[in-house]
Amino acid sequence: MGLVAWLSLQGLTVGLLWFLIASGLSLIFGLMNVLNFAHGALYMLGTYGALMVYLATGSFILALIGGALLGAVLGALMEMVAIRPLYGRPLFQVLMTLGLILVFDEAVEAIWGPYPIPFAVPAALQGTLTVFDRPFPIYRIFIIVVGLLVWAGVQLFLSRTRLGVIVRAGVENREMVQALGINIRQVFTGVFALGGALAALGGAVAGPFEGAHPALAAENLLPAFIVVVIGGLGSYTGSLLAAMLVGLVQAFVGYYMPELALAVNIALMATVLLLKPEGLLGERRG
Amino acid sequence: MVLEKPRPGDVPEAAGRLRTFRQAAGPGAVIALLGLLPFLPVLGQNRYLLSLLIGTFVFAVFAMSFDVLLGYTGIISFGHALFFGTGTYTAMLLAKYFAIGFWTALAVTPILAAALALVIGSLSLRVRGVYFAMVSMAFAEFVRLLAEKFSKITGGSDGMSMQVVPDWAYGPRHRVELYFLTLGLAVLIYLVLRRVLRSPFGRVLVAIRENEQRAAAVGYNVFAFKLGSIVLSGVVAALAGVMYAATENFVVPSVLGTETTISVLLMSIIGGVGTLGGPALGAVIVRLTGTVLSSYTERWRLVLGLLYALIVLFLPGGLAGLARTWRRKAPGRAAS
Amino acid sequence: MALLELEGVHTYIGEYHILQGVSLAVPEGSITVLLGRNGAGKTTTLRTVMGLTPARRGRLLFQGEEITSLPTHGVARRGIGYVPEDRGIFGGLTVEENLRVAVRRGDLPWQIRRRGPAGVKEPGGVKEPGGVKEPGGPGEPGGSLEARLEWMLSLFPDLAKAWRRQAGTLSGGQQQMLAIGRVLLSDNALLIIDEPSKGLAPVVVEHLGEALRRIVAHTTVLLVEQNFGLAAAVGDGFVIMDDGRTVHQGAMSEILADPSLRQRYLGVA
Repeated sequence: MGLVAWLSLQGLTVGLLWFLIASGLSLIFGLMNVLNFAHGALYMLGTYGALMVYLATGSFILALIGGALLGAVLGALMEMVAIRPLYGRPLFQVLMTLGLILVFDEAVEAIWGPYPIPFAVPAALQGTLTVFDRPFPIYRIFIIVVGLLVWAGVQLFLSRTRLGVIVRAGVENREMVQALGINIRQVFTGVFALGGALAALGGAVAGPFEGAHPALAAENLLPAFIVVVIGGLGSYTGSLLAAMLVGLVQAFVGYYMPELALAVNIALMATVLLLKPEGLLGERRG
Repeated sequence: MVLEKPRPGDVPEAAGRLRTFRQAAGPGAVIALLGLLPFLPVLGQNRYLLSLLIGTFVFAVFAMSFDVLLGYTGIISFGHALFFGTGTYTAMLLAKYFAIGFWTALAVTPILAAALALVIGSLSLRVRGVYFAMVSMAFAEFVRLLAEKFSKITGGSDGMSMQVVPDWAYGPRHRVELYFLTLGLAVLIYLVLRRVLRSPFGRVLVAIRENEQRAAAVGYNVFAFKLGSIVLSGVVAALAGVMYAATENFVVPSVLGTETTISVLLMSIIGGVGTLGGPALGAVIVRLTGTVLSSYTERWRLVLGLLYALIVLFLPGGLAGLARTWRRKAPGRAAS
Repeated sequence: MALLELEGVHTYIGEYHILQGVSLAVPEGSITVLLGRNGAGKTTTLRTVMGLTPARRGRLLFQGEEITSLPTHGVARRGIGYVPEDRGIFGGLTVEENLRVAVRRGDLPWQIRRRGPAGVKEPGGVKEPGGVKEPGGPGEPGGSLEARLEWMLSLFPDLAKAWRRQAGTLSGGQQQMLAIGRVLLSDNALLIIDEPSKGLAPVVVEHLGEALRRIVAHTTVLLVEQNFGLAAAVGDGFVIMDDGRTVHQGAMSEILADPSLRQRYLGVA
């Protein structure tokens, strides 16, 4: 029993980090049919950005905010410079975001070099707790708390604010939102910024957990894709559920059969594709 | 969602007789020129140039295989590196663990690639458009991670070295032999692909690209043809991968990664899709540019990435498209 | 003066030349009905006005100003409310949320959001609440958001009862009421409504007709309607379209008096 709870906590940690990437990916796709392949890069830049702020100011809170802000700014810039000229040409939009992977990866290597940079866990969050007779890092609990807070915050935004309602309406019927007098382009930029901030915050929070290195983008894009496919593109709650599922599978299978952990998640994705291609909570799209 | 169709290239049936002649004459001349190159006095002795061209032939085959999907069928895959890398790894592993040589690898790999393409293709074809792109990329990333994780067999991220090519074409002293080997294979594959794509099968693929609903309404099993297209392009990509193993005698997991897919996309986009020649030309340009850039800056891939982004933004038809518009405009200018 | 004017409008969808010369005028304070067979270009005309399928040639004037190349949201902000053929409601959102998206200035007051429209005054199932103050005319600020909401709910009391229900679970008639009610919350000078009666029971159609008559006391309406009964009952002026062109504009009496018009373009004897 203790082991199960302990592993669940492990899974929750990883799952929530993936949720932060996948939810932005999913929201952006749901609203504007753009699959942002460079989303993993925003996660990575969140880590680097937070690390820089942390080293400069020594404040971890500022580091998290800085990382998220960097993601928001880069997300918005991406939409305005690279995506916006290509609306109406979806193929070229994804081609563009794919190319941006290369640009971001190379830029990161050019600025920070190819080697991992350590990212120290802030003093207040160091140490371990004993959870069911097993050591559990306090920092992982912090990740869980931040992840859940962000989830709740975005959930509130989507359900309570008018802008959030507009975003959800746009996911359903973009044309009608425009016909009701809303400038959807501004909403697009905003959602790109939000998605970027979510991914970058994930990267920032994960920083002390995995350090800053150029492979972060590629490593986290795959789990994000798996989460998005399983949860259903465009579904925020679906992203959360799928991220939890994938995180838990990762933790449990990883504990018992470490070699198989990733394969099981891919198998999970394949199963969802076979049985319910639109994902657990997604809607069928053409 | 409706995915925008790639700009079609010169479709054979639309071409006049002169055009057809020009189309046949162009590749013919290029192939003849390439065949004569090693016998030329100065250039032919330049090992550096030969190596560069050898690499180009490999990627030309890879780019043509990608064009079967993107240019002819209108399927956008971001996981094509999977087949290329599988070909490379299969050839390397067969050589390492079973002492199986190049020709056998060339015969066995396509079978494996076809099986893989059948499984992955039928799973990914459950979704469409950019969603397909994502799922195909997920599968490729998965195989890349496998190659990295099973380092005892594959050498992991350090990669592995193995001589795949027969002795008579191995090493710097046999560049000319390797040159003709890769050129010969590339030409052969080009001819076969051209034949297949001009067959009824190829025409159905184009019909699907142009209007999937209509193709289905006419009675074609769109799913089966798409799957066929994925298998065909997967097999050819795997062949290119075997050629890559033969020319490099070394492999790292990144051949399975996004970087490889991006480079083949770059080749297709620069060369223009929908013609086998376009992507092949794109392969030449990208390889040459990459080589030139890399001699100036360590960050040549950054430059390449930016170049790619600019082409996507401003030159959607690629260089071939540019050439087409230019050709179309030229007579008009003369008339006015 | 005509509120909305189209002059020689041509619209293409892809390579297809759908509208091949549409000219019409919608007089202020009336209901103008677009008639014509299926495929005559009625829906495309409405979508062209909204900038959803922009005109390639010709001019569109609204309140005397050119709106031909405005983006869709710009057209809407000029004061045009659009109810598309498929109603365009957001099925996963509640009735309240659907209305919230449509409020162009500001937001629904939080008291209303929290307590529901009962906070304003529940009109109940009464069709003629009598006591409800009618809002000011188009452009007049007299219509505060609360007043508009109250008035709208007096037209469509069902919406107040379904306040927190998912719009996708409403009946067809209720969805149509929501689609129309939604554009009544902003001070639109013109409502463009595409086939409101489609797929609805006769009794609901009748209710809609009444509502439209009350709406036009404040707003101008451009309507596409296949239900000839409803069209004849509510319409003030009629425009007949055929093959992507406007072929006739006039009163119902003219159409009824001209059998060739009736037969050629409407298919009614």
